[in-house]
Amino acid sequence: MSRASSNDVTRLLHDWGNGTADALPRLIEIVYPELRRIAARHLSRERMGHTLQPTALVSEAYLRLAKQPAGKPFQDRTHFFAVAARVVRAVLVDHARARLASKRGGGAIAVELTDAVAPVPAPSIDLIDLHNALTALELIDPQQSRVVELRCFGGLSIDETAEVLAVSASPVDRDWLLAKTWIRRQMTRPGTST
Amino acid sequence: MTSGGSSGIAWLFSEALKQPAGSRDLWLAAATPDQAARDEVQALLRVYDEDPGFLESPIAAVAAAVRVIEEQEGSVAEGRRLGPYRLVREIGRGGMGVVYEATRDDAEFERRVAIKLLPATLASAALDERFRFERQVLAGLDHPNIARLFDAGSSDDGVLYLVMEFVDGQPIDAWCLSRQLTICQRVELSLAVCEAVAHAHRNLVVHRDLKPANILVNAQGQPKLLDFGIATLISEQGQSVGMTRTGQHSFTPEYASPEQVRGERVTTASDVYSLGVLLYTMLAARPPHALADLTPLEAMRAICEVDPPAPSSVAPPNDQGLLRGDLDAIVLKALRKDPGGRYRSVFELDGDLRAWLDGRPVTAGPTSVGYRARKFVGRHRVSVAAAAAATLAILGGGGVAVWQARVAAVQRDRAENRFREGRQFSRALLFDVNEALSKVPGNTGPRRLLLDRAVQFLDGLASDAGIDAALKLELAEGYRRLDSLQGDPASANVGNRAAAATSFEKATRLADEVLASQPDDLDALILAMKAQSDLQIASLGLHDTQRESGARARHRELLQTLERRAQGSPRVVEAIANGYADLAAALENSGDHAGAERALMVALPLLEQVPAARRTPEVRERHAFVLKRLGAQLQWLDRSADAERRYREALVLDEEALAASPGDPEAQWSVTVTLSNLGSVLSRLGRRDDSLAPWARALELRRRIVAADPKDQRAVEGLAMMLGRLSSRAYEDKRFADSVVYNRE
Repeated sequence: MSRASSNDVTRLLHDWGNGTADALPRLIEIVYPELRRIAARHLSRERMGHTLQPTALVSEAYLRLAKQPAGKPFQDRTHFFAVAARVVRAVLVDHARARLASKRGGGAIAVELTDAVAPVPAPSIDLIDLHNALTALELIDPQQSRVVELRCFGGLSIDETAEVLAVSASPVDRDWLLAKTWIRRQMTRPGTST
Repeated sequence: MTSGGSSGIAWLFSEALKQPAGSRDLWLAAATPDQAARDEVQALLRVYDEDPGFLESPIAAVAAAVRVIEEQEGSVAEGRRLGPYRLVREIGRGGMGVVYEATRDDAEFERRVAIKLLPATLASAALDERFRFERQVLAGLDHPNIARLFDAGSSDDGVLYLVMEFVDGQPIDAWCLSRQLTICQRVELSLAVCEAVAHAHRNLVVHRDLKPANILVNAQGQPKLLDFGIATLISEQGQSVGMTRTGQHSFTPEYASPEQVRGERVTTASDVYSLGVLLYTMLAARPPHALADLTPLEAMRAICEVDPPAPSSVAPPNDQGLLRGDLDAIVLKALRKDPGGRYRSVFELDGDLRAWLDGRPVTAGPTSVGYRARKFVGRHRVSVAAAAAATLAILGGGGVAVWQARVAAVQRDRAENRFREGRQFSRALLFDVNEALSKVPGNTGPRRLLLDRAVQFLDGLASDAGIDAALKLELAEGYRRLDSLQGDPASANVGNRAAAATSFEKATRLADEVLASQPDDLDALILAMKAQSDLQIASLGLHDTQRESGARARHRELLQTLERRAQGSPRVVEAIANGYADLAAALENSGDHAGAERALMVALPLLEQVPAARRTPEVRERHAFVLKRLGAQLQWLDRSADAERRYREALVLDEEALAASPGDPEAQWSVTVTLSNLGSVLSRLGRRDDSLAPWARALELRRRIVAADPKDQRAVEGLAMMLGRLSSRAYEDKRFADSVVYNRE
């Protein structure tokens, strides 16, 4: 419903970049429906056998929402990816929770992960467990948690993640390796699953 | 929870990964002398090696998000067969299913139909039920302006479907524009829609989702009502029954009535409202509320609070003349916020539209003599004089007074309704929504927004003169809750605290207003005291000593008022005890520990004397709280032996509470705090060995809390603190092995 103007998005991205706390929830409010809409449209066009490239999804959302004019500072775009990562995570977890709630008696929600490039059956992963592990990590090391969020939910490479976080690539790489291993241990530890 | 944050570990780990698998241990040994770090890295390496590709498909999770969306939206390939039907193309989808154009290509004949599916991926018990319900609803309807149901069934693999009349048409608003219909033609077209909705209502069906997308006009110019996907049944009394839960909140905001937006009971009056929006949009060529750029919250406000401009004021200039007057009045009457103020039925709306087309007076018109006379003159130019005489005769005598009184009563009812609605809304914002949000980490932004809105609402309500005492107190409590959120020390900045102090003052003022007329009102006294206590603490944060001491003086004054009726009921006694405890909290905050102790020592005997029958969990909790605060003041005053006694008394109560609900993390936490303080007091008294037992038990309980909920930040920090304390104690006691164990954990 909220069809925000591109000015809004650009302004909010700036605000958020400048540390205005209120900007992020507003951005998410705008981006969430847009991402959902684009994904749904792609899905109705490209049926089974085609997997939507998520980075393309996020890029399209950005283009639609921010209508980036030429020469615009790239920082807006990286910020946008950070927002999108947060939103995608929220979308995922919301849906997983809703489905969990709708299945009386519960049971974990396993979402199959597919690699968009090589359609090899990937192992299932419990989204809510991943979300919980990430939330726990956030308490211990917020930076590592953000790295995982950007990589997993924003589809960013190590270099792009470094750019969003305004650090160099090698600490991001180190953080990524440690964080994902930590998360795996957290998720496979008996008795920690939800 | 092992040192995930250490950049040293991160470096060791990633470097170790670069080494050949066989030589990692050797490399590690050379890289660091820290055995603990080596152990951790080796443990992590084992986890890594089990699945090096874990989370590595970079965009995997987004693909998964897409998959979830896909699952939710449902997907059925085109070209598939369902019984004698073949799906041709998707023509629409929503939360309640997917609609396809389909053909029946039997040998005998070919026919186009619309098929609505509930894909197996979407199916749940609730949606199944909803789907069957829609079928039942449609089967009961038979009207030329409602898309017909032909057939229903389920496929071999469990996909439910409805076969319906295929309407090849254009949404009604687009039709009006593309065919350049005149205002009269538009009104005529809307009559057919009214008839369809009235037919549904006669069959006890409320559509609940009337909007142009669901009303298609075919090539013959016939509007057809579609999609009863979220319809509901009403009882004979006009209230909705059954199926109110599922889909209750799925509607289209632009066309939803205020009661629908608020999630309240939906009746035929809601359809009247949606028809009003439809009429408005058809006649003025724009919707009554521009919601597109609003946040959901703003949209909700607009729908519930803002009166739309008259259609004539926003319509294209050529149409304005015809709309002004009666059509404006008809549309706005259908759009009243209060369902009771709208047309009582679609039939009445239909009647007014027909009256307008015929040039007769409409019921929605301004009910003035002049108005009725004008209409009358228009139709019967000859008998004007007679008519005027008759009208004057009716309105002579007492007629006018009666009529005025009725108008006044209607206006008052309306104001009260609006007031009640606003109150419900702000209460929901403050309490329900905020509480729900508070459980989700990281959303202080939305909560802030919510609170700002709530303040606006409360201000609006409070500014209304002539509200009664009960309501004033309710508002005061609203303000109090508000500032305890605004002033939340965890997120507080000075701006928040100032806002909090302002809210406290508003709460105080409202309570004082009630006290001015009812000086003995216990609820008002209790509330006023709480607000004064809050205000003292908030003022302290702002370094506003003048406001602080003013609030404190008023707090004491209120206590004395209460104490004057000391022989009063147990409720009064409890109120006095609570008042002193709150006063003590304010004194403690300002560093006056002796004063706080004195206040607590007034509260304590009162709580001890509460008769057993009235010792509710709240009273016992309050009692324990007073003992603990007392212990803390005594610690400050360096009277450790007294403090120990109070903590032990508190511990008895805490343990009782925990025994009553052993799994309650709040009860567990409470015990750990007392134990922790008791341990500190004992160390201070030089009884170092005695202090280990309470600390060890606190440690165990905190571990349990964290294990149950690793996200409980307070417990995680509390656990860390306890570990730190035990570690340094072990170090002091030269139990180095223990110290290292605690430290590592």
